[in-house]
Amino acid sequence: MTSDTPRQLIACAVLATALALLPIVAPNPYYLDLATKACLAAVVCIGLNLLSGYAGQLSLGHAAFFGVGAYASAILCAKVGITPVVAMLAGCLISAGIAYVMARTVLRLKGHYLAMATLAFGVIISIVLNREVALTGGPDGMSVPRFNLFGYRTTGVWAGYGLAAVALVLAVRTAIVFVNSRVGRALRAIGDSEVAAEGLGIDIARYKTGVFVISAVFASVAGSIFAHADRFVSPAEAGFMRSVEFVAMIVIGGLGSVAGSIVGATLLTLLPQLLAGFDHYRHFLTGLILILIMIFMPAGIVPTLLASGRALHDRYRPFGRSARSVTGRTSEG
Amino acid sequence: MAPLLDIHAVGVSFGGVRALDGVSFSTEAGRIFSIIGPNGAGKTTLFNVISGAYPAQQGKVVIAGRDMTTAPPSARAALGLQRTFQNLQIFGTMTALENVMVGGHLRQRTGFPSALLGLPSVAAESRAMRRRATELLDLFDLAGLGGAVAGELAYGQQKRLEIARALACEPRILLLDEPAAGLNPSETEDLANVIRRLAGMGIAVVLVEHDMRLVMAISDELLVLNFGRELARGTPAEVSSNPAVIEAYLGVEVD
Amino acid sequence: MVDFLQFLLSGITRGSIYGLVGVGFALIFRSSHAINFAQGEFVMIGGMATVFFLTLGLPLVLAAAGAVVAAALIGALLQRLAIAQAKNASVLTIIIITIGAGMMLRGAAEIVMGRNFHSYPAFSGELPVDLLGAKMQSQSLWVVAALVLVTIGIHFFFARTRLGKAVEATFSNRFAATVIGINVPRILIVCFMLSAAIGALGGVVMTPITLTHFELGVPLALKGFCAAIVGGLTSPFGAIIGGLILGLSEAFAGGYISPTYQEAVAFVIIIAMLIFRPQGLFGRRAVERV
Repeated sequence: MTSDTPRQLIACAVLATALALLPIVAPNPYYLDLATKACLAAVVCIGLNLLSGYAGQLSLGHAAFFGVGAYASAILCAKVGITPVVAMLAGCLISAGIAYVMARTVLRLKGHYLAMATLAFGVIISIVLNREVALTGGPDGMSVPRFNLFGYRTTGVWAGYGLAAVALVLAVRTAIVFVNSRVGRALRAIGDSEVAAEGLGIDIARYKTGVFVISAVFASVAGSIFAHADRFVSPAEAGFMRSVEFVAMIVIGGLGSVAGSIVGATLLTLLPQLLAGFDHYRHFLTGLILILIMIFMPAGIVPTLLASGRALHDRYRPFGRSARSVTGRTSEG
Repeated sequence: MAPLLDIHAVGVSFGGVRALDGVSFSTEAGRIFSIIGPNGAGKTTLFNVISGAYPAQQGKVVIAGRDMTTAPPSARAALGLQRTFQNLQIFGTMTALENVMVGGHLRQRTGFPSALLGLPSVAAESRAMRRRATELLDLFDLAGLGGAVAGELAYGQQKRLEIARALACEPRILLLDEPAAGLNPSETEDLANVIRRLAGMGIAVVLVEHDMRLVMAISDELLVLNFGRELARGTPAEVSSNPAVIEAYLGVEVD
Repeated sequence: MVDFLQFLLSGITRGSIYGLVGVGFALIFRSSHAINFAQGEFVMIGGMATVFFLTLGLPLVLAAAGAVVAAALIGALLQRLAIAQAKNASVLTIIIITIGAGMMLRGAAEIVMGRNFHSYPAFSGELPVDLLGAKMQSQSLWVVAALVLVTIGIHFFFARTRLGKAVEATFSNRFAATVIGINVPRILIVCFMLSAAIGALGGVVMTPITLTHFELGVPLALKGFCAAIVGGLTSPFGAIIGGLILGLSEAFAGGYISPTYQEAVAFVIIIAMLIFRPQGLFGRRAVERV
């Protein structure tokens, strides 16, 4: 509903304010580092959710695009001496190119084929990062220079956090406008019924390719910022388990929900830290929580909460039917 | 002048079974053309061949003077062809209003770059489309339901929504696949008026329908299919007096 | 010639391992159209539980049998307590539940067995078998034997038993299966138990070669999943053949071309497969109805 758009843009402003206040409320490098990671995971998830939650395509290799962005920034800045912004753009171009070629070859097939192709491709990328030791430092990873913009060097965790927060706000705004545009509606239509969408003149292959490329670029940007924020990259960031984590984040937060992407990313980033006190029981408990959320909120946290909020709202307005916002959308991936 | 829709000797086989065999017809703007026949006669297959869901193995499909026999559905839609589905294909998780807005896909311009940048033109286009979609919802008696999730609407409402969606891109040819199925008599009466009005707007309506009373009342021309072949063609009066039709199909209905 | 034979033998060993892991994916995909991301953990449990039972002083046969039974029980619990609880859930929700289950099982293994590698002696001694100059570990024969046993067992199960036929019916049409009185929820449990047991059996026989570790399941599951995809994802036999193809390709590519990218071979095959034969070797192309 586009009547919701201004409301969503207000939410966007609230998010920006909250992100800006965080360093003042919690001026602690450890918290800032976690917040940086959560913001960047959220950027990846917002892009991935456009692909899975709206267009209904599953990707099991999105961490590879994160890795491409991270290593493009790392290698181009550290070994070639290119300025970070340009390196980040180069990473985007490489990710977009790979995504385009993959989509063209695989997306014409229906079913879980994209999932399998992204899985295979993602693992290959992470193997390459592990093996090309001369270029990437292999399994030990490599260090990355600081981010700088037009010669202004940035310092400390603050800078990394600032970049991540700006990226998140931009990603949220982009996604909201995108979803409520003709293109976004076409993608959601594809997710609901390909036959009907095609009959309305929507070029399905083109739209799926487009959204796949976009989601790859979101992941790539997040990867580049991560490289500079952490000043270090390792192949584990591009690994299969990271890809699976991203999928888990959007399903838990809520498919087809921008807010859900942020909630899922934040929760799964913080959960292992919150459970750090349990030491050996950490993995076990994380898995258990994942299962419980899926059993009790199969549509994801945000859509479930919105639905119960709506039900409460409707109860006091028996004749008024509240409009559904895009963030209330649920669908199969 | 070439006819708006010209189907020429199309044939389709499914694993040795002839689903369609040398079927031809053509129709013009403003006419209501109906395809009837018993179950399995090939009516829906014919619709699928016209809309491009699968290609004709023999023959030609010419839309607005262009040979579209092998073109994908989206290219046919671009020439002004729209359809509804026998087993509804509503966008179930989107609102009714959004369904109709997607219907106007081809009448809008926004591409990936401007959608990503969120240019002012994007919101302006959506606003204009929303106005048109709201009008269409009103026209189909769905006023006030724009915000409702389409998948949660009643069956009759979904059927009307599907027609409204198809109209959103101002089609020149509209294929309706059993629009009266599951409707009660008064809803069917409303539907007949809607179809007449569409033809009055200059749309070439092609109808597959089992409700003989409706078909006979509104059609300009009829095609009777039996086992994938043409059994008869003509005005309702001609068809209903055709002995072959009476024997094969209408006998039961006319009495 | 000796090289060739050596690569062949090591390829068959690898391939048998992948096949044993892949069968479980195919069985579960066949019954519920979900990818079970906890499949690798069943394999890990096979090895870990055997180690655990051996330290309790049980003889090997009992320890191995105990491990397989334990895995089957865990499979049943996973289906019953987690997957069956998420009613009307999408396939994606089920996939996430299996991911959570995988984490829990890894976590449980970590709690009980720690973060070390574990193993136990090969079943027939550590002396390698000599075959025309090529050598192979005697344990490899046990792995191959397990694969043969599983192949025959599955064939018998689907061709001869009522339960197997019910699984087939559920696969082709779940609704129709319910109508003719098949207890579909029970079938789903059976499939999970079977997958878990086969995975665990794989773990039991491969541990003397691969060792076991609480995180061993992930890389194994990836290869097994690839094997299942090559086989068409719905066919247990396809997964076995797929596993052998992957294992042999890896062994020959590693031997004749370069060991650097040996690990990538399986995934390159998957991509080639998706481009040239997307339905897999033994899968049927889905026919779309409008």
